Amino acid sequence: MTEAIVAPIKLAEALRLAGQALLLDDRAYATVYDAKYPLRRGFTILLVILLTVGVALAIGLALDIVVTPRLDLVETAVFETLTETTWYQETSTQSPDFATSFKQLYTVAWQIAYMVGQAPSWLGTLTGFLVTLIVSLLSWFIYGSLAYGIGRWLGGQGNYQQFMGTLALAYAPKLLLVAMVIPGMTLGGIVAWWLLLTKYQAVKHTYNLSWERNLAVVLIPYLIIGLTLFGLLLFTVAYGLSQVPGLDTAIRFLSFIKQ
Amino acid sequence: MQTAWRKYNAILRLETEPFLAIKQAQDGLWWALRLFFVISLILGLGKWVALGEALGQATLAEQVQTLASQVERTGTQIEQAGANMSGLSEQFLGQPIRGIGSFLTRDVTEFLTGLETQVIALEPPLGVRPSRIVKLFGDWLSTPFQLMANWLPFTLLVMVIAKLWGGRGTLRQHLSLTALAVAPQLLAVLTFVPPTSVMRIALGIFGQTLSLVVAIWSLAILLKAVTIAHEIELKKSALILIGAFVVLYIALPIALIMVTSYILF
Repeated sequence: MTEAIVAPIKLAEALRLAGQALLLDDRAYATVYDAKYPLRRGFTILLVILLTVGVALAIGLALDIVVTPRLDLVETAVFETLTETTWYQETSTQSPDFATSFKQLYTVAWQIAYMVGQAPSWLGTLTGFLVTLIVSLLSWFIYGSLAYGIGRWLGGQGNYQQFMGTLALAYAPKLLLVAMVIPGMTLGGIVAWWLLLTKYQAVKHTYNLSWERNLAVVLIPYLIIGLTLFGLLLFTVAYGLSQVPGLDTAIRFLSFIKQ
Repeated sequence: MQTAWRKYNAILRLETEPFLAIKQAQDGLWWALRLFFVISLILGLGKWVALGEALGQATLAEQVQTLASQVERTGTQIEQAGANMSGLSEQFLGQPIRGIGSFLTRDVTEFLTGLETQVIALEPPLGVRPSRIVKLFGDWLSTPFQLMANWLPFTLLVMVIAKLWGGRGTLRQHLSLTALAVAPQLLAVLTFVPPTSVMRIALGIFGQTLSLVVAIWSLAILLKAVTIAHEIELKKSALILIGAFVVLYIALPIALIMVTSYILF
């Protein structure tokens, strides 16, 4: 193993490999697969990809602010109008903490409105970036571990480090989010579709199975994760509804009538 | 550039040579994607026809300004009418009619002028019209990504069916060649013209008619692409494309309805 492979990967090199992976080039996957520490190398590339996206989102935010109506002024104007009402004046006199709580609640409500309405805000962008970062890292770990298990079960030969390293490179399509730097730009789900392709290439390179098995390794983890999330959502809602008094009795009564 | 142009023409003429060259080249996918992006961007040029509307549309501040001047004019007219009728009103009511005109010219106009100042402050720092251009530019640049997102599910399904029927092409080869089906889409540029006037609606209808021809041409390229990418017969490629269409637009929606009804009922 050469020193170059052991040494920490440079930024330009990481982006070059990500670019190659984006174009489904086997050589990029081979570079990570053959590295002395494939997991570390892949993880570094994944971090570079995600941080690049973060920087692009920050620049995009600045540009978005320049071309979007000044919602912050509306926020201030509405706040001033509200604080001048008799209700506000009376309540703040009666309860000294009211003004502080009201201000906090008001700020949070506007930040939620910014996020829901996709209006540019620093908090919204930071939250969006952190969500992308955490979700991408978590999905890499959970999806990767599941896919690794399925791949091994189907007869794949690569080890965990090699698989996870190569799979990290498959997150290269996230780089397409850099295009969002331009205001008014939409990607129309291309990232999710292209992720499927790069993951297929990563699985193919690590396990060298038949194409059907490669496809199964790529798709089955999505099915497992989807079913788990569906189950979680279903039982959370069911738990919430079960707390409503009388609902269980009503269901029992309805099933009794049905019989 | 000349080579690319020659290659593009050869693809449109359905010659086998460029398909084989792209299939074998290391940078075949890169070339095909670039072609896809360039053609999609030209296709999206139709969106720029709306630039005139985007720039001509009055900003909120301008609308308020127009309203203020209208109110002022109406107020002056009422004042004049009041002055003309003051003799009559004095005769019948014992006093002249005053107030409405001055209320409109002074108070309402003052309020609207103040509102205009506030509205200007709410406008984007870059200005309303430059912001519209920037956003239109972003929308135009989105065209290739949107088209690709629509194209990928179909082409991937074609790949799976082709593989099941013994196709031998790799993912890269398949994508490189099927992406070439975008080549004739240049003629469909009119379908992107927004229907904002009678002439543009007519252009849109003509564009839709033209896009039928384009669709048949693209289908022919797709047939050739699948045949060469997977080294199969033309007849088999046609069946694969029909199969993919049936699965994506008929079988899959029916299956979704059946699965949902099985789970819920």
